Amino acid sequence: MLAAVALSNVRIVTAQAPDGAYYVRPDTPIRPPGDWFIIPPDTDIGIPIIGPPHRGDELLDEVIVEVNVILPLFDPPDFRPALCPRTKPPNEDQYTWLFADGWCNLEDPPPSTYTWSWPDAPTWGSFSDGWCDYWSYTVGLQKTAQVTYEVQDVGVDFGTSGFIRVFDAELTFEGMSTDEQSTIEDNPGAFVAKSGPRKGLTLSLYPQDPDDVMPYNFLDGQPHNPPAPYTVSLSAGTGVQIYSEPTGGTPLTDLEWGWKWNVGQGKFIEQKPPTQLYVQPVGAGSGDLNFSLQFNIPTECTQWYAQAMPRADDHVKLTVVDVNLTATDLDGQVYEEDEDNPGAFVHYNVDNDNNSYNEYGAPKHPGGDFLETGMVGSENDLKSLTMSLNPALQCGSVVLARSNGNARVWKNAIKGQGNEILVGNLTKTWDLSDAQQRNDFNNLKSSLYVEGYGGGTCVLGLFYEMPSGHTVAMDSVLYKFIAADCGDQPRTDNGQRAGFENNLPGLVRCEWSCIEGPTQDYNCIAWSIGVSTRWIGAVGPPEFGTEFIDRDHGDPAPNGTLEPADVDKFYADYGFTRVFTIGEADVIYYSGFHAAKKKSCACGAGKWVMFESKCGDLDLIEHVRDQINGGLYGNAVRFYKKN
Amino acid sequence: MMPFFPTLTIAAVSLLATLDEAPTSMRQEFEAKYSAWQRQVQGKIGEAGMHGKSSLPGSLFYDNQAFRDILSMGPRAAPFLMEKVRRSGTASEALSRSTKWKYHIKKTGETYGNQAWYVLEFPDLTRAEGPPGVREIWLRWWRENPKWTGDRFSKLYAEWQLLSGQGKDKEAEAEYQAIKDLGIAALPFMMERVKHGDKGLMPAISYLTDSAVPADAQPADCLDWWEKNKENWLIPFGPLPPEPPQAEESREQKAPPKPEAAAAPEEGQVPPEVLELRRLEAAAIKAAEEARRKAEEAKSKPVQP
Repeated sequence: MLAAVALSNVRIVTAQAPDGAYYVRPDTPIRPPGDWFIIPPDTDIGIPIIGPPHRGDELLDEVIVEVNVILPLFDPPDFRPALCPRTKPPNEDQYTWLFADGWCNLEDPPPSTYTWSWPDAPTWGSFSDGWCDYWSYTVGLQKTAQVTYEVQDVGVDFGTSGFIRVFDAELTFEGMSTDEQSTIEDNPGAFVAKSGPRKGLTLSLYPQDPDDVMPYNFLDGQPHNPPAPYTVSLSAGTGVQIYSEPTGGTPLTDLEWGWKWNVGQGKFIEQKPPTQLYVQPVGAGSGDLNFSLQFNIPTECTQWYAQAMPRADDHVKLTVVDVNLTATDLDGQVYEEDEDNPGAFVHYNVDNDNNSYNEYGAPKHPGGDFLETGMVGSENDLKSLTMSLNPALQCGSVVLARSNGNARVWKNAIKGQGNEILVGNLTKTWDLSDAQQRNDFNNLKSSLYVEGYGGGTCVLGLFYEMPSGHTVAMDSVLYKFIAADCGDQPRTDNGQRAGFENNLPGLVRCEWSCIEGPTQDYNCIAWSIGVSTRWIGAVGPPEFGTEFIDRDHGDPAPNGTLEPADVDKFYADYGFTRVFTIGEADVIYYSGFHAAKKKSCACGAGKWVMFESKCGDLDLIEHVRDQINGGLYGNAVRFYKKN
Repeated sequence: MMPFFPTLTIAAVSLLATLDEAPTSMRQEFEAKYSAWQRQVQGKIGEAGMHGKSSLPGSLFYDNQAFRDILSMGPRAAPFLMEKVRRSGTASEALSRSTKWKYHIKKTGETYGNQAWYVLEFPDLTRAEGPPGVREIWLRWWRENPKWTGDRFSKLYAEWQLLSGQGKDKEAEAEYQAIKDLGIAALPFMMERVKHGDKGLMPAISYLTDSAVPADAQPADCLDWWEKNKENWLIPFGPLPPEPPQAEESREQKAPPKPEAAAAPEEGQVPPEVLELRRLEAAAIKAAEEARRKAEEAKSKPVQP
């Protein structure tokens, strides 16, 4: 059974920072004309900046590469100048002051003044502390704080400013924090269960319409062709498919939006990016969901230190976890679709494979193997169970659990002390961050054995849990522990079991039991019609019995020979009709003068059809329908159904 | 109608008020012989390789010394055999041979549903599902005797005489056979007729006494023999001891051990994974139950023509 587990309460991840990209609008005021340049980005914070088309290359060598970028303009006005690339303008129409010169000493740069202004013309300021000259220049509507800095190269000190715009791409995975500064997005990232439900994936762009960042007609009022102004793309990562709908539909194959060249129309066509998609986990693995907004800047706009294709990225590390239990039962491997219903059928381990002391567990289960915790020689009733976890992880925990004590799990097919996995405890946990436990898990995962310790059901489950304890994925198997348990298991110390097994080699241990001890009061034929007070013989005296099929039910008349018609008449006299398939039969008549009666009991939990056979002068036993064929009683030859 | 032989009836009953009063030595003798017989039967079936077979020769049961030893105890063993029959029908053959009482199963109707089996000697002992069981027939016979035999003998004797007088030999012969089938419980009543000079019962008496009384014996000789031997030929009818409780343990006593204690922690201490599995288990069981209920409903729904 695969069950996805909701990811609520999961501690996760939002867009990392910094992921902003900035560019300076082409209408940035220039002063002094022709002498402007773009401040190079601080590589640590990854701010690509493109500049206005006119700059003074000749001043390049004299610019100090350290930059102060004072961003943005926030309200309330507690802004402190700092390198804070994670913040964004509160709205697209606000400008940000960009100021740079020399290298900045930020050891003690408290803002000393705040001003709101919309200067018609740029304003300059300067002062000197006796060591350096300090310059500032502001443009635009802004709230500024004065920054102190030191000029390293006295000969070329000046500042610059420009309008910048911020764009960003933000990816939010369902159930994860929207805190952009969270680093959980990257590590450990999000975990989902393979084949679990689709998860929402929110794609946020700032500004909402990327065209607002880079108007395609900003130079000449025409789209540039090529390059396209922007591209939004998503890569699906490992083991997932992307859908437009929360359910149904077909997976998206084209995960790129924006301006794309349309061959048929011979021009770029814009396809607006979606804001909501859905992720369907389909295969185990770990990878990134990458989301990017990229601008293709016209070459005439790219400037010194600017990027030709600035982009904003966000990604979420996504691990699709597949935990699986593979069970075997009495029929072999249990298919995935059968793990829940009907489940795995395993013997309730009531037999005595090692011929142990019969008084222990007697009379119901003499020497019953399930009562033993030591090794049981010749034990053959435990069924293997395999655990798997994909991908291989080194964090979190794997938990194997059972719903009750009906199941025991061992690491040896014949049990034994020291081999207990789930014996006396309901759960077993392996911490994958611990190398020893991780190795233990890997060594054990293919060598577990399940024993039926009690008749009934039990669910075994395998869980993968994040370090927080939250369950990401699980698989479970419903076990049904079955045995012929209406009667007593045969004893091994008095020849009882051996006698039956020798004469009826089709009998399987655990699948038959002795309902009543030996008696000559009645035989199988009598019991097949529900009588336990007389022995019904075949033909007549001198045969033992008080009633005889031929003598008392001969068809058309007794003739000293048992014939099929006599048997039909016998059963007809007791209200049975002959049928022709074993599935309909309430009574099966065998070629060796034997009959078995259908039994309505819970033994076998619906898997077995149980019958009862009074075995001559011996016990009345219950057995699985077909298991007395081919032995002392020959084969099933006629079937009868109660009217 | 007055009882034919009230004095005899009382005498027969008073022979042994209850089985509990039977001499211990007699019971021990019987039990020893019965056990020996069972062992011999088991041994013979084993020797014949017929354990488990459903068709067995009667000789395995009756053609052995232990069985004959039981029969040799005569009617004295009847109460003990009755006790055995109450538990096991196998002993009924010994009881039948010992008492020579024969009952007859008759059937009415030809097809299942309208047929019934009944005991000719106790017509109200009727069963629709099959012949009345050996145990209940013998218990009925034991409980109603010796009065029942006396009454039935009177009736049969009168009919036999009437039919004989009418020259209906065949019918009279059937009545005579029915008198013989009353078994040795009828001997006291027959002797009363012999006292009245009836010689026609001599063959029956001879048959019932295993020829101890010759078929052509004179009434005086017969009565003389009876006086000397009747203690050995009167069946000590009387209440049987209460049935002992079934030796077999109840199924509840045979219940398997309880699940491991450690696997059933206190409420509130159950790990969440286990709770989740229990929820799944409950759902699975509920679904299975629902499916079973629906299947049964569908099965019981009449098929539309």
